[in-house]
Amino acid sequence: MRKIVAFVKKHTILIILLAISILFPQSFSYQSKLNMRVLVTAIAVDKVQEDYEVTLQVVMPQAKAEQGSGKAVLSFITEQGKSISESIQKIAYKIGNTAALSHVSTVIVGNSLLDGNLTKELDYFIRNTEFNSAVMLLIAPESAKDMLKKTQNLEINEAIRLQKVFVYKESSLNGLMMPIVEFMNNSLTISGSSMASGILISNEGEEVLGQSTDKTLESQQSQQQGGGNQNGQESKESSNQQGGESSKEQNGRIKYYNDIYYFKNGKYVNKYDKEDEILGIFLSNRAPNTGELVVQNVKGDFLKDATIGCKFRQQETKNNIKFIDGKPILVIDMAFKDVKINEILNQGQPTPALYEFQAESSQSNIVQAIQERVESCVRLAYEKAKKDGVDILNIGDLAYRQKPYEWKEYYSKTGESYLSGTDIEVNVKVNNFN
Amino acid sequence: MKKQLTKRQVLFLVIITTLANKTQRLPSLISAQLGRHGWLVFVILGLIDVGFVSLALLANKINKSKTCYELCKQTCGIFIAKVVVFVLGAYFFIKSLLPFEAIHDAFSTVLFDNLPWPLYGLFIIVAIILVCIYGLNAIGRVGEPFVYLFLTSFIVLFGLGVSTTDLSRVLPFIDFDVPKIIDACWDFCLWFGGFVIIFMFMGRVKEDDGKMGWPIIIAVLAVNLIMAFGYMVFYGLYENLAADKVNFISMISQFSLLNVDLGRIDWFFILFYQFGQFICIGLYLCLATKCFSEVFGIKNRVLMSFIVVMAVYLLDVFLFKTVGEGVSEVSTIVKYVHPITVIGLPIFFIIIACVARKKEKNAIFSNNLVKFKLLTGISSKNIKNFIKDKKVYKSCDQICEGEKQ
Amino acid sequence: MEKQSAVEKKIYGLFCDNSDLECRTLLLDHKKVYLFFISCLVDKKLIESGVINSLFEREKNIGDNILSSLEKRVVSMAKAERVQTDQQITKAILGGAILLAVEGQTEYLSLQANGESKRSITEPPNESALRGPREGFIENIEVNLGLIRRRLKTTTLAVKRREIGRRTQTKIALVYLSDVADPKVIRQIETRLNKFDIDGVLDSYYIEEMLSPKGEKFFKKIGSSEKPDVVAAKILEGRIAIFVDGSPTILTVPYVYFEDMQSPGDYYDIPLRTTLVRFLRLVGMILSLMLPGLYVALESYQYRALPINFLINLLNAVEDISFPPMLEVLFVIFLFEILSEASVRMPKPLGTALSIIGAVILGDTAVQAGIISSPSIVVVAISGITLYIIPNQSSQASLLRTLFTIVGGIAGFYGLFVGFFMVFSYLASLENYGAPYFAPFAPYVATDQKDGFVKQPIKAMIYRPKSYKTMNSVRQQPFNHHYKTKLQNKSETAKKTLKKGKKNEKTAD
Repeated sequence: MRKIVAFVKKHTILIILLAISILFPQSFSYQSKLNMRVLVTAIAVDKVQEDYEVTLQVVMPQAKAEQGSGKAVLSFITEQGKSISESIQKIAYKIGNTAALSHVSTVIVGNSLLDGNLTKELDYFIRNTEFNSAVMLLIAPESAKDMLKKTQNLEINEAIRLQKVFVYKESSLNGLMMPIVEFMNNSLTISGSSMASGILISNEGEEVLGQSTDKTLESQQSQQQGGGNQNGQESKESSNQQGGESSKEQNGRIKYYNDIYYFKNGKYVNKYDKEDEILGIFLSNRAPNTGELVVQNVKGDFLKDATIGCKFRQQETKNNIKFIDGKPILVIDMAFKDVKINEILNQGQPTPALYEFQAESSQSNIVQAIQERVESCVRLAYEKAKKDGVDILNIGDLAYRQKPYEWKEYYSKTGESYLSGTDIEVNVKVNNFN
Repeated sequence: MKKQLTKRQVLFLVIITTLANKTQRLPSLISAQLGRHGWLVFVILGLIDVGFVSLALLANKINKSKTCYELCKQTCGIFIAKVVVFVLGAYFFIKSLLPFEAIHDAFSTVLFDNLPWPLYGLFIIVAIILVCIYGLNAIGRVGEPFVYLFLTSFIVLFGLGVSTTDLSRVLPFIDFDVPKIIDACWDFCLWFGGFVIIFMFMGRVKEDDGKMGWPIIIAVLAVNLIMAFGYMVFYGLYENLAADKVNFISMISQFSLLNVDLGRIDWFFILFYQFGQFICIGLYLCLATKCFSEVFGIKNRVLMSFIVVMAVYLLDVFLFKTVGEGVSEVSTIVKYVHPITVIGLPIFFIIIACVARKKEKNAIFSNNLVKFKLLTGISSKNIKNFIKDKKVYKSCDQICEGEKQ
Repeated sequence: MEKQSAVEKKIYGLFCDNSDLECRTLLLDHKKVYLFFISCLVDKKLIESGVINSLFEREKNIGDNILSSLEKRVVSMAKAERVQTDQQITKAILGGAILLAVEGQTEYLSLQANGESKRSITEPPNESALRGPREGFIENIEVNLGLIRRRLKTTTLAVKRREIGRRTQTKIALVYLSDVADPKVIRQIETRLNKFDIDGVLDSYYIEEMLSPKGEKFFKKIGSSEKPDVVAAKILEGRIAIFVDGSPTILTVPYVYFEDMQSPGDYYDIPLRTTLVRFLRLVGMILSLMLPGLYVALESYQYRALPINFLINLLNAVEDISFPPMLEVLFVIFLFEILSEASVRMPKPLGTALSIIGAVILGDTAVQAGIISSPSIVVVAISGITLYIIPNQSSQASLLRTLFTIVGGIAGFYGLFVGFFMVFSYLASLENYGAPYFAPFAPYVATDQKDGFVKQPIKAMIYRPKSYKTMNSVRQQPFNHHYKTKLQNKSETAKKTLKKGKKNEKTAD
């Protein structure tokens, strides 16, 4: 032992050099050189018969010589396989580079996957440790691949960071940033209900701002389908364009109010596509920082035909359960702070309407109108889901958490059909009305 | 015996060993078994730890000059001393598998796409062997500045998790199954009991101005309570999927908005956090090396360190095919031995420390008695009467001490 | 050629044939007096106007006791010492003395007449400060000792001299406060110096190596400085300073790593600013060591940690580069090292032109040619600049930086983490002359934190550093009643220490 130690001490530098020279070339083979990877920022998944069609949104670096005004160019690569994992692997073989999936922020799922159990289809994104837990789930109305390709029409920062866009949308009550992990978790709770946002990207001039009816939505979709296919074919060519040229085509816009799809135990049930429903579900479930409300039919002669635009900040929602006659009632207490009137569109009224508006009675009528509007939105969303048998407000979970023994008693009597005996009570309070 | 550690270093090492073990795989394992009530395991086992760490500190206070081996040898004989020290050594050896697996997990699956661990694991083996050779001195000194980095990383990552969690998912508190919780406490006891290192610090702590008793007790309690809360945060983030998210410290910060904006900069904090794991492995294996050296009489520190550390490496690489398998196999065996070390050893050491102290006092008294007889000329018969009188007893000591001076 | 006298033969015989030894023969009261000297070592003016004039001063008889008589005559101009043995004679002449020999006498007089040329006292290039003294040590040990003596006017300042080097006979002086420095350390130094048997000592670095522990070749173990105020401060803290003739760098022992993080300017500025600057130095040190390795690790393995926008920019920058990141960064480091080495040696007239060429080649052309990428230049440039934030550690930091780059390229974050930990553990285990290497942080020494990263005002530094042992730990008394009360109320041990300090001072007085 002593001889070994003495030998090591005498030849320390030689041993270190030897170790480095052995490991040095090894490092080249194990090294995940950045150039040998393609950076994937979004994934679209569709089902084609029994196979999965996966499309990757890839950021292609631009060498200095080719750089135009844009910093990166998007490219879309599609492949089919028996599983999502296999499809991604095939893409790697196709392009000769491994897919770097760590920056994937969005997964868009096509309509074709809604037939089965979505939680099972998305298992890959939970198991693979390369993905961030906060990867967002979006549902495309038709083909996810086409919708993903339309992101090319968005500003580059928007296209590669859809998750951030939806975070902002969520905070202003017109979008839902639903991580896949949370979606999966919600489907495993007592209520089993989970939601995911839809995504609709249209070119400027095609989209309809504000509320969209079913018909309008259909016509938009049909237009986009025709346009979408063309976009898909042109994607490869457009990916090779210079940054300057591509900016001319960046006139895509994400729809303001995106549909909210709701599921029960991972299976698709229905969706909220009306503005009131979407607003209702956000106000009851989420706690955004800011939001816009439009109220009409305010009581009183002065404002009866007016359309009033309000902005509120720091809305807080507290959901409590109470049992009445052994049945759970969800009490939703909503408090709106700092409600400001931004705009009053009052047709046919003389100009000094401001003095009338300042009257206390007018203000209290507006507040009442806001309360009524919010209540009606929430109830609309709840009733629609209740009809479909989906406990969208998680009454079951809340009841178990807050009053477990009463809940167990109730559940033992009703079982899976507990929802029919539930009801909601919405209390809206407006503080600091301006 | 050269005093190698300061009281402050002991405190920091206890904090590191108590916290580092619990922040990798444990929360996901508990959630698979207990779900929302898993935080109770941290509270129960934490309180047990607090109770017995107090006993361990008391033993340390009673005996300040001898190491645990010397103490056992003096009071119970060589054979029992070797048995006790062997048990300690084996315990530290097995405990070291936890942070080793944690590092394996963190680097080969979290921070890297695919790191060939059998080859790259040798880097850490070399580093640990060197640390074991440098000794407790070096580990204590390394622990001092790194504990700040370790705790800061933990706080940052924890803070990122707290800001995005839904704590209501942990409710209800009251609806739990007691037998299940007891079973879970039994199954996961290996991750607790980090204070056992205090026995090895007996006789090796410098007598300085620092305090060791209450700070350590408060630290152990605080760490366990924070981890209980941490479990709630973790469960609040993942709920039913918590069992699949095997790395608590890297999973807890993934939902933060910072992540969306700035990318995974929490990785740097996860990396800094691994320093704590490394100190933990180094400490456990250094202590195991010391124990086995004393048991087998091998004084060559280099050889012993090499054997012990390579054994851990071989177990990890060749015996356990996956990290999960390794951890579950080890915990299945150790849960039967763990109570002996956590509960039995503090009581045992208090008893023998008291016995040793009494023996020393008696020895001093009998020496003083001889001197007293010589000084005063009183006969042995009469001395017994004097001894009964406490004032005389005291004055006997005082006279002899005065004589010394 | 005149026949040499016996004295001349003897003295000339002690030196080699072509020695530059000169001899002046004088006739004084019918007696031949010889003056032997090496002209380049003595002050020539002193020979003419000093020695010779004073010898001929009195016309009276010299008397029987010639040497005593001559000694009295020359005492006003030079220190005279009697020498007899060959060793003493050669030592005297080679030390710059004039040897006065009288025919027929067996003893000789050695007259100190050093006239070697000295550099003027200027500010050292590596330790400049915005405020504070601008004096620096020079190569002459006497001048250096004088600079210290001017600052430490105390009888307890001990100066122990010796010579080392068989052929160079280099003068060395150990300077310390006899009532403060640890005698054990002094003995250790003397023992090591005694063991040293070498041909010649040309610089203090020889002594530094000599005093470093066996086998330790990489990390610095002995402190050094070229500023008198710094060395005086270190002596006041209980350290031992080692002066070496021929070197402006003074060594100080014991050494702790944090010494190099402190600069003289820290003590002449407001504490808050000093605190900020010290943290800056720490950050700079870490950047210089780890940044290239971190960049390589991020680009090769842990790109997931980078935000997407930055990653895209990085991808764009490295798109055309055909080398792996590790090789690329090592190449840039190599270029920077060549530039820095060349800039030390290149002639000043060419300096500016070559610097521009270097910058243009590295900064622009190489990037455009696709040999290296701009992020790697930025990274290595930052690392190179921060390397000199602590100039005393630049050699070690430069080597470690290269090592960490290789380690980062081989094993990414993991390699960096393990490598850093190994280096830190090794350094933490070191203890030199009773001082732990990373004191006062590892182990933590509470009182020394007042001069740690967060600097307190000078009046708060009541105690000398406790990271190493000193005989007298109290530096100053608390400055006002409030502070006195606070200190006394703080803890019993603080009281005891204060009392002990007072006792020691009394005994010292």
